[in-house]
Amino acid sequence: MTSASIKLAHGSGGRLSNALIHDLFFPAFNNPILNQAHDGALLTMHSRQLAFSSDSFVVKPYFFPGGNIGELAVNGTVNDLAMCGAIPQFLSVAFILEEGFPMNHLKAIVKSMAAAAQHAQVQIVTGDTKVVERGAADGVFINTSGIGIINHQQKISPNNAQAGDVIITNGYIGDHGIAILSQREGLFFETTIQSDTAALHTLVASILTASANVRVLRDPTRGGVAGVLNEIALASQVEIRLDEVAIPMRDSVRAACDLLGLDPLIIANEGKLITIVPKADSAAVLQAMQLHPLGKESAIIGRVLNNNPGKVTLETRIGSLRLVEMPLGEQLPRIC
Amino acid sequence: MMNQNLNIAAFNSREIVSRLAEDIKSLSADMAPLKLMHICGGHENAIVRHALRQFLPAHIQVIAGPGCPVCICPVEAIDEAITLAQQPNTTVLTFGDILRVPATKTSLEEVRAKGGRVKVVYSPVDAIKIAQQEPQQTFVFFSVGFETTAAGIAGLIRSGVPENLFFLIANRYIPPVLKLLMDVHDESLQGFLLAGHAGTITGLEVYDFMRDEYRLPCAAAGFEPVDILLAIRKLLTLIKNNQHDVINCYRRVMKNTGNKIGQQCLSEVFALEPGTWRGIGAVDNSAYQLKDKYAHLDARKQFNCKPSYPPQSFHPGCLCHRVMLGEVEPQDCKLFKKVCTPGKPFGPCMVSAEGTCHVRYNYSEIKINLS
Repeated sequence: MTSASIKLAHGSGGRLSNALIHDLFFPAFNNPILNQAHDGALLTMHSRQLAFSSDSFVVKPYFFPGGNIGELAVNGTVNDLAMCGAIPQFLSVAFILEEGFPMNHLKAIVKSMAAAAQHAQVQIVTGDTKVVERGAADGVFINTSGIGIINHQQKISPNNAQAGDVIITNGYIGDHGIAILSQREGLFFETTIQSDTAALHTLVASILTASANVRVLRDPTRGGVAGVLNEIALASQVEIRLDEVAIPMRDSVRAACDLLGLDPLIIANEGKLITIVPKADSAAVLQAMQLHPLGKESAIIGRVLNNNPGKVTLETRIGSLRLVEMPLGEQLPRIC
Repeated sequence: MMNQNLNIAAFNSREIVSRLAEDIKSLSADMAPLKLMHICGGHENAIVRHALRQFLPAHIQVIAGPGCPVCICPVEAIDEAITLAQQPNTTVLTFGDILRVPATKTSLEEVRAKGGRVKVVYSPVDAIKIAQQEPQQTFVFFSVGFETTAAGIAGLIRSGVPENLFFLIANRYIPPVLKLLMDVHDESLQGFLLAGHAGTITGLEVYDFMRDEYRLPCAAAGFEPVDILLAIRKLLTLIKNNQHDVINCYRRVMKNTGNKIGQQCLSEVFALEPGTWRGIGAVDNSAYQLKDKYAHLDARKQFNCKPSYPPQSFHPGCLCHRVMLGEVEPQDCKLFKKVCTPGKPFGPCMVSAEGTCHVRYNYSEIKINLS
């Protein structure tokens, strides 16, 4: 690692995050479960298949259009478990609070966490609270960890994509990131864009029912669709080719991205998933997703090729081709 | 005037693009290698985002010139804005993309982080509202941009502003810089794509000197893929026929005579003087300055905004100045993508969404078979 100190980009989900994970954490904690490099760990205990995952939330502002840090923290870990193909069961919640944090804000956050947990049918069964002096944190940070049960035999992994497969997403991309950005100081513009934060495990269940050969499941949070697909392309050593016209995107998100000079493909999502399935199963999976409330706008957005292994490419609406690079990502710190 | 019934999708049509690409290919088949330059960050953004260069034969290059107003904004002006933001009871209002541009010692963003009063506005009209809300505070609108932005500011000033609102003007006028570009580049540069939105204000007559003095064709272009390819095809046709006209290829928005009201506002409020372009140097008749009758609004005349240190435009090793002139590509700069990123820009071209380095950072083309 070349950096002498931690930069915001080390937490961005982009290239520097990857470097930190692969150069520092993996060698230090080295074990076969960690080395799966999945959204969560896949464990076998007493012949039960389990998934275990952890995630911390530092989003700024902590109340944003369409949600708050609390429900994001519940849905985030539920989704990490769901991307392992697990049914989420139990969560832990740890708060780091800054001295002076308004009690009514905490109450509102906790209330929405309880509602999100109920909606996702998970129980919050343990937790922790730490308070740090004023200035040592920014209001509220939340960590959630979770355990889920795996009830199927499918081998779902980012290194599983194969030429001929198709890439499907469950709807409009970029909503969460633009909802957050619209609230940030200096980037305030009139918008009705709401965060898409949602628990995706029942949608995953529909996908797993529709196909017995699901190759990849990922949620494109930090680093967006571009970040996740680049990871998959690298891990599977395939080319992923997106079709610009097919990618579902709200006009308002497109306009905001134009205004801010951002590529919608790098914008964070909190209620979206990417699944890669064999072409033969794609129609059934797409139909199952479109029948789910969180998948009405599901679409096939690309395909897996062998031409340029490790690369993500985009066929533009006018028929040209460009690279979609792994975002460095530090442009948008604290998006989740 | 914009035709409201226009089908904008046609300007993104795959079929029309491919037909234009075919035309360009056959038109240029027997032409010697040549360069066309655009002078608009919006054009570079569109060209790279849509990977339009893939539709051009290898011997027809479209290069980026000094078309990003944030990039060419002289460092001296940002230093002045920074000096003002550090003065008591003074707030600098500006557009967002200048905030992070590195100046001699710091940026407006860093000054704001350290407690300096800098506020981002999305329209100069907001500046009036903000100034009215806090009459005891002094507000300075730091105005950066080309003709289109300058016209808006001129209109605002002409219609009257609150007593506590002043202007630090760093607007620049594009046409004279073409003369300088003609001196820098050799004869391989054979035409210019003009920025459609700037032309919407000034019209095309202000570029007639290109035809009369330099005998080089120019075409004003819009910002969709078809707009740009239409203008390229037109330029190639002109070059091939040894014609040197200044042509409007953006008729759906732009009139040849421009916008008369905008022009009146500009000439009433501003005079054109020699002015510095960052990375390029002094360009005659290219800097908008408030006329004497508006001296009471001129921050430079009303306040001491000269910093105590001499200006330094570029970080050592930064090639922004040569990128802006179209002499090198961002990839030729050793800092590009390695240490210079949109998160930590070393030079102005990496800051603005229209800066050539920022655009190339976000999007790269891939040279492979489309099959």
